[in-house]
Amino acid sequence: MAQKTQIEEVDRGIYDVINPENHRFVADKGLTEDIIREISREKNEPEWMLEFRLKSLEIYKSKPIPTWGADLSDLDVENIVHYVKPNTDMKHSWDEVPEEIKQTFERLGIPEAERKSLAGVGAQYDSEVVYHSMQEDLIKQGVIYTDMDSAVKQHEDIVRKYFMTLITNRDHKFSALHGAVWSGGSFVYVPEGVQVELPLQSYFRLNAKGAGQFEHTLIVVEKGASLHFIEGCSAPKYSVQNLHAGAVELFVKEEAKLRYSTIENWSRNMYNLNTKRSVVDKNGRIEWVSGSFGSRVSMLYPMSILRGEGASSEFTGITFAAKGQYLDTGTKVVHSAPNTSSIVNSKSISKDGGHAFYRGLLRVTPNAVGVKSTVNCESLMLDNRSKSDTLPIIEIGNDQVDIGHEAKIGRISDETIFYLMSRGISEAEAKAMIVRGFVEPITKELPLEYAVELNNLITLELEGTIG
Amino acid sequence: MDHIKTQTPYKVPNWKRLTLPESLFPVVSASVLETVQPKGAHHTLMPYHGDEAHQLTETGFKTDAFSKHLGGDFLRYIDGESKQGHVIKTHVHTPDVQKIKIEYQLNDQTPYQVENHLIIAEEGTKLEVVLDYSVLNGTEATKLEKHHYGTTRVIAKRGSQVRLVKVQRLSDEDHYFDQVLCQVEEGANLELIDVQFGSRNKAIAYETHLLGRHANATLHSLYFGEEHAQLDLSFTMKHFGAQSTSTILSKGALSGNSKKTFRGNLIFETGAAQSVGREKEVVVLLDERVKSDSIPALLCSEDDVIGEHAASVGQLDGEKVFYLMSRGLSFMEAKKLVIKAAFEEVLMTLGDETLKASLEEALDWRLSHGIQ
Repeated sequence: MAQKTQIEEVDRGIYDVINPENHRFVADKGLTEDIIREISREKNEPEWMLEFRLKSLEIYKSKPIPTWGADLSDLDVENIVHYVKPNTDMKHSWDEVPEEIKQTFERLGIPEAERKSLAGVGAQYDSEVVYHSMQEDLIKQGVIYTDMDSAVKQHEDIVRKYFMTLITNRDHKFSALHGAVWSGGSFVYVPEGVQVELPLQSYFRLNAKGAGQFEHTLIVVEKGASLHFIEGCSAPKYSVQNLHAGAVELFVKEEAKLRYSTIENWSRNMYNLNTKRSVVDKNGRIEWVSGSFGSRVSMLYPMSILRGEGASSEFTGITFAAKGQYLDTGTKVVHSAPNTSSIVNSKSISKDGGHAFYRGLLRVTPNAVGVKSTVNCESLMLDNRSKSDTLPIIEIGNDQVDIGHEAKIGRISDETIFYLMSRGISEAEAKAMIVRGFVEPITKELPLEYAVELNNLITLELEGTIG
Repeated sequence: MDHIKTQTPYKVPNWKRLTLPESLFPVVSASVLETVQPKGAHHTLMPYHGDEAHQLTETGFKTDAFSKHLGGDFLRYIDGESKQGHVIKTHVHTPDVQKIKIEYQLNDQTPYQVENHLIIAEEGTKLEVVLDYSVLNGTEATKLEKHHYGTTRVIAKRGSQVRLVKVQRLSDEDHYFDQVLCQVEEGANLELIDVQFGSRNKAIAYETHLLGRHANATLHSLYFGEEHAQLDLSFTMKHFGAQSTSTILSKGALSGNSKKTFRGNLIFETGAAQSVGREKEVVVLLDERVKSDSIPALLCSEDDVIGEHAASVGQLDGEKVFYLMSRGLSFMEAKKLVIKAAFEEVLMTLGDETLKASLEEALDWRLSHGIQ
């Protein structure tokens, strides 16, 4: 009798620590115009932003809940608190951050990571950014890295030019909701020609019960500049549903390069309905590295719009769906200029009744000649209670293209294990090698401390024999 | 036309990716010209109309288990309105391959066809069916558009071997809507071959349920999309039985302003352990105006399986064309030869030499007109 390889649940120990709620301002549940005005007043925002929020609210109320993908019938948006302000102002020195919040981020290893290998770090606790710092030399070169709320006031001209132009409040119900209640997030501006050698990092933590996190991330990388940005997310588990509907807008200019890495480990009651989009100009490059481990439901499809000739994109993603999880992830690439190229590498693992769904789109517009693209999807199923689906849509609008696609679904094959065992490797080690090999293309793309974290997340407990 | 008395209440499907005007299916009273070969063969051939539901119930065919690829109304329309079609049933204890070929020719007198077939291969028997749809010689150029609407149900019983070939070569302005629903039992082997050469609007859907252990199904699809043609091709293999195997191979070329949507679905249900399913799509694009959509889906509820999909979309292999030109062929001839070679893989599976030769001729003609 063959025994299945057991892959342990991701250890959520440090993520599930709940701190007592101690907030300065909590918006009423539900969503009304008064609440929007209150949020805007509390933030002391310019008038145009308030108008934008109110317009978004109107659109939100008129749009239906999407009927495809995940089942959202349990999600009660009206009962999710939209704005929670922690009882602290933003600090630039770690020592000034309140002890409780500091402990949370210490547990998650955030300041430690900064000390080791980051150029700057921002940490968001519930709806507001509580800590921000950046290396001095980057400030001198004109790099701006601040929280989004400050950016609206201090860099209004840049924000107003780009804010929600790539993800508009008309795109879908949750982008409209985001437009109405967004709070916190990161703003990064890298001036022309500046190479930011070390990564910048932000970390989002949702502590309040039944709260929605709607952070907005806006990054502009000017001509010839480069940046690596890392985003991490977590929340403790409560019995009520939480909602995350953030927005990430990335503008990559001519000859510029941006790498955007995300490790998402939300608690298992989270609805992660996030929208991420990038637009890439001539010879620019966007690289996405995306790990989805947490949440109850995820619908996440980072999109790359290659609008400048010679622009390129690369997406590397891994999704791990365990018990009770429905993770609907993938990527969208739109080739709308000649000689653009893209690579998509997606891996998923499902176990214990988890459901991993890869949903992707590759579109080549009629004028985009000379496009090259490859899409690879691989799924590993660890038992037959789980589900794994792959749906990569390919739309080609002209004949001057070279498109390749491959998808595979299966489990660890007995033959492979047998072969490795015939070389003197134990069965447990053989299985571990295969799973490590499966996720290796992703781990090698991550900064070291994240790669270590990923290896910790996927803990192998191996037993059994080949029957 | 006299043949269209009224419209039925059934709606013609309108897909997001295939834009058809909103319309209702017509009521059709006449049958189109039919030629059956050979006469008096070993199998039973009798008229079949879908409304004779009891026939279907007795066979154990589970229509409800199939997806509605052509819309919910389509099957109701065919089952309720068909006036043409056969029950084709093999004789048991006949070791030879039982062959039947039916040719349908649409013309200006009978431009509409609504047909319904039920094909049953009894345990351990071998059956080969060719259904060939074309336009009666001399009426290709008339302005009257021809329409085909059809459903074929196939039951391949234990250990049987079935080969079903469907060839569509209507005129370039015609319409072809067709679905094939198959049940494959333990140890049975089903081979499906679909060739689409004509028609402006065509939507075809094949769905095969591999019900028993060691059930095997292969599907070969070949198409050529020309000026203004719109194709919606849907191929589904659903594995229920353990150790079942399936293959989908679709090859096609698109020229002119044609538009194609390929939907390949490989589904593994719980219990289909040690099954293997593979699908592959190869599309050659011959004009800058073409549009090619592919939606390959792998849906898996069983871990002990192998499911693979591969697609390749692009222009002709320049090196092959260049090599042939270096051997004295013109650019056009070289291009034609490379496409024909690509199609040969499917044409070889036809088994019927006469049909193969006539299809090659049709392909030659289409390539000469389709390639600039």
